[in-house]
Amino acid sequence: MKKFLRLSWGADSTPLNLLGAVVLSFFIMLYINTFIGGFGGIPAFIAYAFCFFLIRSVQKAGNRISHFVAIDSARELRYIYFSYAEGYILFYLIMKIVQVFAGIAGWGNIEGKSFGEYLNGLYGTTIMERWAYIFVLIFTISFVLSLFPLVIIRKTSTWLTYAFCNLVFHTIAVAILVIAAAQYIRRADMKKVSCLLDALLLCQIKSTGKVVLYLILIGIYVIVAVFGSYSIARCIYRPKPGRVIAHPEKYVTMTETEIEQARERSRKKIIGISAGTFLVVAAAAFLFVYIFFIQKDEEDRFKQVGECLTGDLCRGPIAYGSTVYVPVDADCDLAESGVALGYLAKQGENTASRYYRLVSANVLYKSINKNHLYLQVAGTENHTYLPMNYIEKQEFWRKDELFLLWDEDWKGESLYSKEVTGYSVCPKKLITKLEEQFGYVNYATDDFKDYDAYFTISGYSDIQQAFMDDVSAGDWVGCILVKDDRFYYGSYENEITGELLELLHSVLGGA
Amino acid sequence: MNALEFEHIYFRRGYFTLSDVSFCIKIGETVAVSGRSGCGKTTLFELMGNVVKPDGGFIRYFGKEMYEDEANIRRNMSLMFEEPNFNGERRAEQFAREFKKIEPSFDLEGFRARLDCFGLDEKKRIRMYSKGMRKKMMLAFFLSRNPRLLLMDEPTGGLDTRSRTEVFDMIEAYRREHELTVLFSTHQKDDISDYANRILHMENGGIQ
Repeated sequence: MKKFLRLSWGADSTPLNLLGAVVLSFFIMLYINTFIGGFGGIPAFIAYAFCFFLIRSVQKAGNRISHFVAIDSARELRYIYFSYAEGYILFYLIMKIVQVFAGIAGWGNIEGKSFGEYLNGLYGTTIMERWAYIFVLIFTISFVLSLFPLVIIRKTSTWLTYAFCNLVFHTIAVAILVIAAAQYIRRADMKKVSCLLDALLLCQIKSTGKVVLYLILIGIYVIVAVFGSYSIARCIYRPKPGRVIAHPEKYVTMTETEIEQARERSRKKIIGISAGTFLVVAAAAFLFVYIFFIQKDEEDRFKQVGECLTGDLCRGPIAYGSTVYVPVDADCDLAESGVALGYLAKQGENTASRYYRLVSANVLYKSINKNHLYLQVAGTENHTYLPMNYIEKQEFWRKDELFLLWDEDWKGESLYSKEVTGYSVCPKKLITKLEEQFGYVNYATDDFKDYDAYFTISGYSDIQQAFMDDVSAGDWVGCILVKDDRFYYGSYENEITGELLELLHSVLGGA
Repeated sequence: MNALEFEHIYFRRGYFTLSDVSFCIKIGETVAVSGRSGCGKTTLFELMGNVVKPDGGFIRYFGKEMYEDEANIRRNMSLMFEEPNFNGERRAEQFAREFKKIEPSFDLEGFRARLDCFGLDEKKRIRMYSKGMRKKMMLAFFLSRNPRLLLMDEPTGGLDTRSRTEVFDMIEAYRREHELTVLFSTHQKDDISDYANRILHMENGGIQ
């Protein structure tokens, strides 16, 4: 790039050229965002507009280095190609860094996220997510590099033909990759796929061999796109042998009057074509905005409104705003008839990433009836909730006969519980004594931030209800929080001590 | 052998056409291209430099077409447009040093001597020179490439009589030591009568 810029300049930089570069870059940005997804946006727009305008202007002015240096067209083209590639990647990276830092500094970062959190929000936290983004980044850069001939083609018809064919080629490539990815996407998730990145984020490839196969596919694509486009550019740029003209009679010098008449015809043609193009572009833009911004599922506009306070998704409480809710066994269809509130995050889950929205989103719904207290979550989890203060007052558990103490971390024996099944049967005597001692518990979301262990106490009418086909939340009794080897009943204000603690230890049987 | 040969060249750009342009320039000749503004002189030079490609016809340099031996043809030919088509943000001396890295045969000392002869400050940015100074700098630069064929579009446009003489004197000085073929376009009748062996007059998109 340095060689090219040190020697060549003298751009034919008219405002029309700048406008052309801006329009083309805008189309490229739209294409990347629509079909490829990710890595488009403002950085790609600015980087391409600047890079294209800079080199194209020099080319349009006919300022070839080979006019004053003893190099052939192939070598000159290599200089231009590297200038183009380095220029785009450099400007893109600069713009991307500026964008990320601007975001972190406060522009769009209203939640005050740290650098790591901000990046995780953009590009996910798992290897699968990052793999998809890397794949798409390689694809996008290859796509931009494949547009290189547009910089050097001077003939309008050839330029338009190349642009069209290139877009068709890439649309087919994207379609093939999406079809290949579709084999690993759940049928229900297919409707969420609107671009290549979505397909890659949704596909559940578990075998390394298949990942390698995918990487080979992108490798082949890069080779075809980059070397193919470079070869086309070389073919266009190199000097051609002379030829005998077929119709020399058409090359007649026009008189001033004939030129004026031809200009008039041309003016009318340009107005007609411009009006037609404007209508087509306006219609296409309207369709694009309608499909991708207005009609597109409202989930894109959701924000996180609630969070699970514990790791027990089936029985543990959640916080919606400052109110604590608990799961209940109730059939609701709020996901169909209610109002969507926003995302419900699992403990520490990042809801800002595209991966979350596509793959693991849980949306919280409430009823349109204001007197209806229920909340429902739908997505990868499906539970119904009632406000904790309501449940505490109702004391549904009093009619129950079976009480189970559910360990949040039920997959193995823990420090505080010997039961590997994840639950311990709890005598009603313990429940009664806990309620007698502590009564109505005032649950605070802050108490759930740094506990060491957590248990939910649920009541059931019988064993069948507790272990029926689906997971049953049972009737909420209360919960045990463990912090620094001290046990609390629902709140750090309610420490369990003495005889009650011994009884609890005997139930848990842990160390 | 001819240094440059146009054979039945046809070219169209917008409403302008070049029709059946044929001529040849022998090695060692100095030929002037004359004609009214807009008659196609600059287009002719663009065709020579392969800036634009003819719709039909053949252009040969020392008996070969550009595609046959491009690097060698480019090496032996210097094409000087009305305005520099290289980076004007560089200082003349800086530009020449960069250039020598790519073309080692470039005569850096000769370039400095020629700039000195023209009284040009080599530390100045190229774009900061006046139009006449830029033309002189370009000539100094292109002659320092040791070309066999020198093509110049309006080399004396905007120059006063003294500067014009300096320009052609420098070309003559070069010619005394090297075999050089020169083709230049001009509006100046004095340039034609004083320096050209032959005239190609352009009119109505052709050579008359």
